[in-house]
Amino acid sequence: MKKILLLSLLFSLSLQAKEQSVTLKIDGMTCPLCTMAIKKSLKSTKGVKKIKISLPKKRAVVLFETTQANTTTLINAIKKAGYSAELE
Amino acid sequence: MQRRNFIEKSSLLVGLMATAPVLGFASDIKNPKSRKFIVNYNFEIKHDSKNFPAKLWNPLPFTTAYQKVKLLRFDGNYDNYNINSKNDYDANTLFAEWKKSDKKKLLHLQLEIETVDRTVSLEKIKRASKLNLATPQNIQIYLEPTAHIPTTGIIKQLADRIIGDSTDSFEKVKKVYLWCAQHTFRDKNVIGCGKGDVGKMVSEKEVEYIYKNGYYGGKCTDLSSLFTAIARAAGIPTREVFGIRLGKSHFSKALGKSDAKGFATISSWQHCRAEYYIAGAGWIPTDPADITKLELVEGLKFNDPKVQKLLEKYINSWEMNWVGFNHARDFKLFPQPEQYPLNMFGYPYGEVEDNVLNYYDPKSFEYKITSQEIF
Repeated sequence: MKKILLLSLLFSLSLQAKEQSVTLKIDGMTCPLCTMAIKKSLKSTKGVKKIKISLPKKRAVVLFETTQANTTTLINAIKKAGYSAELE
Repeated sequence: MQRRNFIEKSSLLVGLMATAPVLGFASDIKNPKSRKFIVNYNFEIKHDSKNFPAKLWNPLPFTTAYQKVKLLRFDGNYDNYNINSKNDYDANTLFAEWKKSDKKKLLHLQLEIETVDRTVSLEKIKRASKLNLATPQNIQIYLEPTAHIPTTGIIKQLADRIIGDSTDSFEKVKKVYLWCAQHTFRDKNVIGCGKGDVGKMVSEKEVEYIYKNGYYGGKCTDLSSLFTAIARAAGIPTREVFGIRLGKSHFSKALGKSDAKGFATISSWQHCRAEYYIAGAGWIPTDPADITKLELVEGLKFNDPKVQKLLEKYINSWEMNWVGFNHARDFKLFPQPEQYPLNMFGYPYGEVEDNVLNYYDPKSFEYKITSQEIF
């Protein structure tokens, strides 16, 4: 029983460790449709789970799986949409 | 449905919007013939999920001497709505909101619009321009830059190069208008009316090169914004006017068309024009972007007599198979959306939480706009 509990705890910890949320500061967004273009590009990036973008704050909060994406892939996806970004 | 509420509110709006002078007073054409259009908007807001909330802001026309909203009615299944002009540019807005649910999100808006062709006589403009009167305080906002309309740096240098030693306001306008018409083209690959981002359009650094060789592609917002930026930098209050074409142009099919019965589907017919201000003459209509549209659609060169005729006509007039909504740039709608500022308000604007609906794509938004001219 103890073994099962320990395994399940380890399993849940490893699941949690696979997801990370980062805030990216985005440069070049000038209108609401810019947020749409960035969101579209991030959505097509493997491992991205959730995106929240704010034009007034010029920020994106991205939740992603660390085994499939990292900050560089996210920044590159934003670049691909025509904007620049850096980790806050 | 909240039909009763809408009818009450609709009446109020017509009252608010009909406070301008009687139609035709501002046109210098004697007894201008009016045109009437019934315009229908049908919205069914779309989103990836079934269960979602939605917010919609739709631009409504202003009423003034050359265009009048004679009737406005709307209906739908929204949970909340208002009609307001609570923004920096007094842009008339119909706002509707749906709470999170799996029901269809529907809105139908109907407008009856009467227009007359708008012309300010050249004699009047020239006479006023010579007086060199001061720009009134409430007009000075249209000399200021916005995020998309720079008036300093290379744009200021370009304005100075174009106007040369001219001191007369109308002479300056004519030079800027002619330069824009000769140095721009309609780029059919640009989505919608374009962003109107002048800073991005004019990216070169050398003013003499731009003055001689600059050739900028875009659609109506891009080209009207370029004209606006250069004219403002030259000291002429200027603004874009966002609106939508309603039907047939008597000048060219390139500038508006309808079927034999006067019907047209106009979902993607949004069109941005421009106005410049000369104290003593007021706001004067112009449309540098339509020169390039005529050239592209009819396959005409700049020196073609038909292009030259429109060039001459559109420095001080508009054919009114179109209705104007507002002059707003880079501003905040009311109630405040998640995403702002909005760079222009010629299209419906919608959000599902922080997601922006693609207003350039009526089918994914979803909306359909039709117009029926009443003969």
